[in-house]
Amino acid sequence: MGAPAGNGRWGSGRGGRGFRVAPGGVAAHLPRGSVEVAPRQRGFPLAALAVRGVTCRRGAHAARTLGTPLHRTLPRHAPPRKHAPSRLDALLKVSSPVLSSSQGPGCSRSSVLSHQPCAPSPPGRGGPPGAAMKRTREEVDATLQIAKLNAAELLPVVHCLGFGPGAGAAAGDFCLLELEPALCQQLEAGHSLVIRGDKHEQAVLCSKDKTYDLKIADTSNMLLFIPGCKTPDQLKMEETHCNIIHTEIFGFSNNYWELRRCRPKLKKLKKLLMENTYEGPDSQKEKDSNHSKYTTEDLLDQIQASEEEIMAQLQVLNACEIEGYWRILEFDYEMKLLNHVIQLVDSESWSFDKVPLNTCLQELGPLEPEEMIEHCLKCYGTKYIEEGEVYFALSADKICRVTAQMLLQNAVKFNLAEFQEVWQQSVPEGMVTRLDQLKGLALVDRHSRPEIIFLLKVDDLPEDNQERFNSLFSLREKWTEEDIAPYIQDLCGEKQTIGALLTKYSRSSIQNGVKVYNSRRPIS
Amino acid sequence: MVQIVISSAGAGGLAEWVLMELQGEIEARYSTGLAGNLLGDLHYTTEGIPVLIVGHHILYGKIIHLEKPFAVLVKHTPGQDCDELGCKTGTRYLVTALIKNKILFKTRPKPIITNVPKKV
Repeated sequence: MGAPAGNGRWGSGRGGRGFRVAPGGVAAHLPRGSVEVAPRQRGFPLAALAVRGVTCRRGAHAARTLGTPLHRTLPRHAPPRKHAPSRLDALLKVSSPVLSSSQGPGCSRSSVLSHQPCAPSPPGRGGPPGAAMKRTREEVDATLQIAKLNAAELLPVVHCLGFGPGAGAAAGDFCLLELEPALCQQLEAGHSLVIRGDKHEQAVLCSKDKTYDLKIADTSNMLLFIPGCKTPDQLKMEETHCNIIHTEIFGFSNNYWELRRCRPKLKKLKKLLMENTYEGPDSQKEKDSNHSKYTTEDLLDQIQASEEEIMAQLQVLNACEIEGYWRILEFDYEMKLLNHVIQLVDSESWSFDKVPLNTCLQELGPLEPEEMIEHCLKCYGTKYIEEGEVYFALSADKICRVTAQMLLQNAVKFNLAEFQEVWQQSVPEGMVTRLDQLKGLALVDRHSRPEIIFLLKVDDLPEDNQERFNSLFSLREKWTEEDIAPYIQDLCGEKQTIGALLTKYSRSSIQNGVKVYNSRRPIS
Repeated sequence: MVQIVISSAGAGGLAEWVLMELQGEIEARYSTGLAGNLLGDLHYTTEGIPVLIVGHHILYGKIIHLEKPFAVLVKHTPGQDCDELGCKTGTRYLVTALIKNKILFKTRPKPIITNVPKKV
């Protein structure tokens, strides 16, 4: 056996656990991280059990002993938890007295562990030692008698547990994965899960639609997995004919993989797609074939997120599948397409709520590829069908927002009043600009004179919670909740609120009667 | 970038195993390794309480239905058993079984004492 039980690790039986960062089982592919996530508990579980004597020796003492198992045990009053664990090994080596049995008839054959009349055969000869000699009912009954158990109070069926020939083999060959009930159902339905990660990344496990952090939880307990073992309920339900079940323990483990739902790591997606933006079919870039392009498969291979999460993010990014590759349109090209559409709507005097697809394609087809026009309509509107005709309802908010982005992109800072004026003039007639359309895109500074507005895109900020707050606080010392909310909204996990995030990563104070948040630690 | 697929044997084809949790660890005598050795007898009382006899120790436990079930994964490396999928995708894990119940033995084992010698 390896390290002694409970050597400074959490005992999961008591609720605590320690984490190693990357799964050891896949360590060959995914190197371990260097960060300890939770502090390991020092000490060891009460009443840790170390039983020796699983095999039996035949010799002068064999007839007199019950297999001479030595019990190595810990004192009942274990030292306090913070006690250094170094003495554990010494503590484990306390041997207990050997038990002797009566010299009754058949004793030498039926003592508790004399199922193996000789020392285990050397490996590689005669097959697995346990397989040849199966324990009989008589031996089981004799053991019960010695243990002073009343067979009448037990169910008639007994499991005789033995280690299979593969048990104790390299621990990396099998492992336990703790599942959520929903994941369990997916596996039962035959779906697959995928572990994704690059060499320097923390491994994640993805289902079809969710992403989980994958960590190893160590336990000082021994986890044995037993095929064909019945629970008492199962035994009571089905009338089994035989009353002795020989089960082979498949293997054992001192850890299991634990899953924790996490946010998909999608920042890389934009980075990859921005490497080679699409500038239209006639651009020089499209003629060179050496620019990077990514298919869905390539993205699955690169992004630590589930397929559905990747697809949803591609929509958010207004990405478009062109000839099988996912591309982001170059901003200027996207604006060119949008302008074509807006001008057409204007010249035809259509309502922005009812833009007919087919007429659009006919009119604008000679200017730009039809797929691009349709993509543009999809990005800035919602599709619906009326009387067999496909229409798009264009979103004023989206058009105002992208117009603001275009204006702000060219300036470091913008006088707020001037900006609002120019912005309103730049959007199509009938659309009304409001500053709340710019959430997560631009930030207003009301303390400077004159008031200014500048571009600050949430997707340009770091993905990690702490890093995100650091960069926000280095940008501005004190934030109101209203201002910061759009920039941390996407950090909220399931059932997590902005308030909870602010409590964790910031300090609040009242300034001129307004609650403001600043960093918990000095920002360098 | 690595993708490691965890595939399940298919609809309805998953066996259900039982997990047994022991506090501490089991060691074989003479460091022969546990493979092939007998662990002990597992009984249930009529009330359904599991009783495990290991060597000269008796343990009483309880059955726990796991809120979060476990999957037993077995690693397959290409070259070892090369089927049409394994060769292409590299290392993968196969879900061999699901575990929804565990038998937890968390109390201290009781020694079985027989035939106390009367000699002074």
